[in-house]
Amino acid sequence: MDENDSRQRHPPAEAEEPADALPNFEAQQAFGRVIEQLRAEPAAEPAADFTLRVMAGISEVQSEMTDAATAARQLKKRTASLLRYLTETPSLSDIALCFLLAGFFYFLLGVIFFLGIQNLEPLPETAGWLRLQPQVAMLTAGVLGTLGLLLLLVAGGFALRLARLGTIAYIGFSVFNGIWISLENTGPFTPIGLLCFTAAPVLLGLFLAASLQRYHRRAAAG
Amino acid sequence: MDSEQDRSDRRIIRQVWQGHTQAFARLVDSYKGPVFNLALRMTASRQDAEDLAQETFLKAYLGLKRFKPDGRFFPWLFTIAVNTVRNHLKKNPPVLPARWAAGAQDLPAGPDSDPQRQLEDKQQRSQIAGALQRLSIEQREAVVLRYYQDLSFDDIAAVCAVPVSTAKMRVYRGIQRLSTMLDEMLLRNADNDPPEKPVKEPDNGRK
Repeated sequence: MDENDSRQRHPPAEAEEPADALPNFEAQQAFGRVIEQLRAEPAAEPAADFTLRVMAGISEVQSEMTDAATAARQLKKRTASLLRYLTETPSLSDIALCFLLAGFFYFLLGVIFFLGIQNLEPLPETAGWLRLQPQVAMLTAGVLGTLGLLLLLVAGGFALRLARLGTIAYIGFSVFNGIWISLENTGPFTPIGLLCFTAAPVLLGLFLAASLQRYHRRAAAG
Repeated sequence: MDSEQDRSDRRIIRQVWQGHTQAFARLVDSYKGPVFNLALRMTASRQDAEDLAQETFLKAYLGLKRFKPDGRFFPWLFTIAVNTVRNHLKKNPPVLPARWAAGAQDLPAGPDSDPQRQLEDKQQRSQIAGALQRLSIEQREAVVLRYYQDLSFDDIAAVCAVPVSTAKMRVYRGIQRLSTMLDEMLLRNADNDPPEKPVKEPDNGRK
């Protein structure tokens, strides 16, 4: 037999004939034999452990769903606590800690840059500003760390004003830094580099500025 | 009208809703046969039928919260089964006749103890299974629901989500086509039957 003939062939879609016009076809002799044969076919039984397997499958799915629900609840709880932390007015020591942590982050970044820059010998001579990034990171670490220490140790209006000015200068410098690097180095990854060197510091700066602003508002309100 | 079975099903479903997951096993026990048979007649493969029946019950369990409290479980479950089988067949269209032969092996044995009768019975069932596989999916499910599951045209219409007239037409077209195919097979078999008196000519390897 031709292989194509052996494949399932579907008949054309059924014609739209009104079913009410159908005679009682099941009583017709021509179909009676086939219907009798179909009805006489013995019923098959699934495997003896079928129910057990279905219930095991249900338990498995339920357990997965419980795990997912627990994870979702935890995520919701953590998000809520993070949002609460971000929106609640922080204490001055909290803000100082944020500045110190940001400074520490830049210190680590500076160390990584110092170690990594040695492997960037093929950099073009024009990429002078990129070569200075370890120093830039260390300087930023120093500024942020000093501001954090000032807030922690000196407190008061002077430290707060200095921290606000320092934060604005940090944001401005981060944008300038990112743009300068991207101008010096053109390549397919330049936009990604620009984003990394600008977006993350700007977000960090905005977070620090918002914390200072919230604290200032509360202090002004008494 | 609700039968005692429908009321019993709803009682079990309420128990499942209340958190008694194991009560669902009673529903599986009640309907595993019909669901498995539907999948087996549709796919002609025991393995596929078991997998599809399991998938049906799993989907039914997961969708049980959408079940209407005054609804009938049996047509609802069959709708899930039909859709599950239909999706499977659309993704894995059976190739005939290899699938046929395999399907015939998977079909249950008849009650006859005479080996000759058993063989004839098996051949006949194999022919029916094969002819059934040649119907379109819609016609096949209508025929299976009507004659293997003994559903009314109203129930077939509800399960397949079509008007009653369409359900009736699908059964009619299906049975008409099955009848034609089985008659053709009978004729072919009659042509291939050996004559009553042995012929002395060599058969040249013909089957």
